[in-house]
Amino acid sequence: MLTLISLLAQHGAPAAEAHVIGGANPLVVAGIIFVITYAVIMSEKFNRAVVALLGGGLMILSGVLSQHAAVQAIDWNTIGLLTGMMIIVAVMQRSGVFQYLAIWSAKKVNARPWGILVMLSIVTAILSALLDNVTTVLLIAPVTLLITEELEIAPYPFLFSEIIFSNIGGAATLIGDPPNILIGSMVESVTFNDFLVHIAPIVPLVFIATLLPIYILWGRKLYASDEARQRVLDFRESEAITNPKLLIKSLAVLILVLIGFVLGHPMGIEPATVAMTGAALLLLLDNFGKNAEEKSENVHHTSGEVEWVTIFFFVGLFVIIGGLEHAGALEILAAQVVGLTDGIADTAGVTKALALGVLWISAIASAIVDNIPFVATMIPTLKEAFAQLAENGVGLDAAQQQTVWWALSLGACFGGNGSLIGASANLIVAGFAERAGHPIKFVTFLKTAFPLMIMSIIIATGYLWLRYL
Amino acid sequence: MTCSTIMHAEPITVTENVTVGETVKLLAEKRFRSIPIVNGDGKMLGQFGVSNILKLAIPTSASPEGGMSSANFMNDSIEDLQRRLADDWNKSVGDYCDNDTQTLAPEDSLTRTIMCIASGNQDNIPVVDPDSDRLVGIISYWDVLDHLLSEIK
Repeated sequence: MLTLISLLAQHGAPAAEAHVIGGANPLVVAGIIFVITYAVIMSEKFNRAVVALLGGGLMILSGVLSQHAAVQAIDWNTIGLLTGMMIIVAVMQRSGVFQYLAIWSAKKVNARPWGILVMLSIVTAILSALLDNVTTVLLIAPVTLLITEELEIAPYPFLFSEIIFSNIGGAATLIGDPPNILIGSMVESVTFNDFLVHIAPIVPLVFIATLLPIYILWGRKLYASDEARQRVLDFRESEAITNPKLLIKSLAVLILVLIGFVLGHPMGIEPATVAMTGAALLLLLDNFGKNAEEKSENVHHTSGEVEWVTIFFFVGLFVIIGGLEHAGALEILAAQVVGLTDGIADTAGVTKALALGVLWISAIASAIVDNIPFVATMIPTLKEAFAQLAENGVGLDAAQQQTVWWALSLGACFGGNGSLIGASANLIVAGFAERAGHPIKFVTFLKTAFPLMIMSIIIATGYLWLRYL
Repeated sequence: MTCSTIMHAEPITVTENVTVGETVKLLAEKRFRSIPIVNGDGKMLGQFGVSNILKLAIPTSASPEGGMSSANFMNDSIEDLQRRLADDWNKSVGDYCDNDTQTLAPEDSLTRTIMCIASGNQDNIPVVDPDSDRLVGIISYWDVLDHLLSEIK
């Protein structure tokens, strides 16, 4: 971090025309704001959205960025996609479908503990691929705690698996995990279908490879008495569906939205448009037959369930990164990235060095810090690095650039498993576990999760190597 | 007129280290909906009532605090429910009382007292001395209503 500031200070001339207060070098001012906000976000002493918004405000107030430029720096495709999906899930979860899924899957395996662990892991991975991870664990963790309480067994192996597999499953699609949403929204050449073709195939591989150590560690020792299992078998999952009509409406809209993601890009329709239109359609359907007061109350309530804190966090981040970009700081960061490939003359070699470097750096970084700000900074930095490489005569073609994006996606998504603070979903599960009287310890989690994360990155390395490098 | 004029001074209380079982017996015997729990110095800790007892019979994860919007798919047998309740029978009641109980101070106005009872979901409001945190009285909705009605007559 400090090297970054000194690096910035060495570059006297600002890249962009800016009027910073006191005539200071915008590069230095932007760099200081960036370093301080990111450090405070990482300290987790204050709410990250508040810190990001303050940092964004400082970028504008200090004159690094005009308000107009700040608004342009916000990636509305990311914001629209996140908000749209959050609204759809908020409506959908009221139908009780997620509890139904969890109970149905537990009963399918005769309520045997290891079977339940595998089934809940599969459900978590699939839901995480289709919805955002935080939402998925928010819905699955409470049912898991209830099931393990009924079975009279420790919930830790179950909750641990759900954390791990939500991050693994989330990697599979553009909408599954915030790093992917960022990559899919900010990189024009990467589409929803590209994720399905290039990233999704590795996910089942990593899933199975991760399940094996979990079986050896805990799975083979899990035991529940017949009476305890009977309690779970006595659950009436059909009664978990509290609103069948709403279930049909929301499933129909979700399917439409997924089709929209697949078909949209060739027609020039971005994911944000699909998600927001789907959200509006579902709100319309949900309000059918209600009176005016109920309608506004319902829309008000649903809007309130959108995680605005996350949305504001993204907005603040985009402005901070916009300031950094405007001041020319990202060019310097990009030059550092390009520096990694010094002495490599062919584009294949450059791709190999960049992809593997990005994969491992983002995995380790995402384990230590929140992967959202990391990826949000890496995307414009890598874009700039590609431009600089082209100037140097080693320009990567579209496919080679995509390989680097896949490396960033896999590193950041899987890297979230490295520690309890690696991804937001991890902390959500830990919160539930603590309230239920089974707190998850940071070090205990780290001891198992970090090696598993490294294993997944080794698999990702092999996958990228064999397929692209 | 203040809160202290209509409250019952020296209410029946239970000390925190009394068992859940004994508290349940007392509630059943007196037909109280809830009872204040205090520590050895008479400091108010919270209330323990019928809803707390019922919650002990279902899994903790099935309560709203566990994050489940609804757990109506559960179908536990009466034996399961009784066993869970029995598990907590000999624990200290202090660990199970609601500690977000709304309280009033003796000097609070009658209007505030009425608003507190009308808006809340508590049947009775403990009156706590703001300086010492000690429980000094209790007000039930009948106490307030009786006062109001007597003025009308």
